[in-house]
Amino acid sequence: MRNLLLTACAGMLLFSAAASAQTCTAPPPFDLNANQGLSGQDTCSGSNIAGTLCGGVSAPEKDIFYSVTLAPGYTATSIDLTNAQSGAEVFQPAMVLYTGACANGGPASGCTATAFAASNGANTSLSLSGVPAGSYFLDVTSFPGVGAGNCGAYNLAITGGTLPVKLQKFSVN
Amino acid sequence: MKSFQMKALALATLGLGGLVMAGSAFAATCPTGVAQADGGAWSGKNVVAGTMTVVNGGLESPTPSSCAMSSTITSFNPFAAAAAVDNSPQNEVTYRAQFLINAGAIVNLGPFNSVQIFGANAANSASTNNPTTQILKMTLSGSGANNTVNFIAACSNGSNDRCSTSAPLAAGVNRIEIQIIMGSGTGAQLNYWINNTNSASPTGSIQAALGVAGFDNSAWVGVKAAVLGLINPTNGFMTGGSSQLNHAVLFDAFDSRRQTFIGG
Repeated sequence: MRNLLLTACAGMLLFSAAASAQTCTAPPPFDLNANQGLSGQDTCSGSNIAGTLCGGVSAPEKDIFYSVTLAPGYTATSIDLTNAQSGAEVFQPAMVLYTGACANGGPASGCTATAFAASNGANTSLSLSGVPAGSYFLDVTSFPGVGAGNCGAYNLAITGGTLPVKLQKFSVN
Repeated sequence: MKSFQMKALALATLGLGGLVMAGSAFAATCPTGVAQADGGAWSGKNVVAGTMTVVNGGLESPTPSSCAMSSTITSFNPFAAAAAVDNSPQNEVTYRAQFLINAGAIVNLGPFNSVQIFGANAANSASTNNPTTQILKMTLSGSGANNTVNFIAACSNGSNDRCSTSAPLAAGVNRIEIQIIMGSGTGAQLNYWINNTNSASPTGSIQAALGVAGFDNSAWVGVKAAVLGLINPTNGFMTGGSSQLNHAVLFDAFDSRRQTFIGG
């Protein structure tokens, strides 16, 4: 007799993780492979850590960092930011995906991928097309040059993430 | 201290300067691109929302070199770039670089719009006031009908940790040379020469602009990478009446060294 318990967890799991004042020492993970979303994020709680992005882009705006691992064969196609600016917040978001040292905002040869919103309050989506598997930093910040006062709340989600299937118990009687 | 040309940067010199040599000796074939992967000699490139090509006809005078690098921002993007990258410097505490630039296609840019044309980057950012990796950020802006080059240096000044000065460019081709000396206290210097081959008389310097003998940039350690080309355009560079989209800027004859003046 075989007793196989296979638990499949599908769909978007939203974790609320308030973004606290950050350094680049240990940014929290944003797990694309587990199809995880993050809600309740806010760049206003951060500070300007990467003053230069992608080797030359001046960026005095606040940063919130995540560590992102793209496993071989990952299926996610984009990281999607939903702008949730509220109250007096004015937020024109941008996202930067890069390798190297977190605080350095990417190597001189450029970032792996970038995205930006067209206006305050708008959403943006970072395409993962052509991005090789590996470990990255994701910097959620504001459109470079809009000023350090531009910041706001947001949620992160993934399009096309890998369906997490976990074998939690297997026994043969 | 013995002066010597940076061995590691010979590759960078060959990136464009080598083309000058080839052009003067025989009809050279331009590589398809400036990066090593494209037949050039630069470590890499950073191209986003722009184009960077090698074109026939260099900027040297009176004997023109064979090829030049053409950089163009083609669409609106805050991360736009069309630049070559040299990763051969090894945290250099003394660093000189020179290149030719023809920014004649950039017209009516205005004093509040700019684009970076050269950067000397550190391995790590150093300041919480100005958490940049850029020991020197050289930008182009406009002043009336003429272009201006701005020198923005990392410096520990207790406030924004940024020191700057600017100088006008001549019409057509300009030869720009910079010297970076890393130092603490008042030991740092940043000198520049524009169409000036007199090593003893720089056209200007950060320390002269500040009215001091020197400044402090020691927290940034030394130059680890050089970036030549267009990057970091302001919004006004890409939109509105001052838009410079699809306006090509030409670069040529890049040379970099640790010690000796490069000159003409």
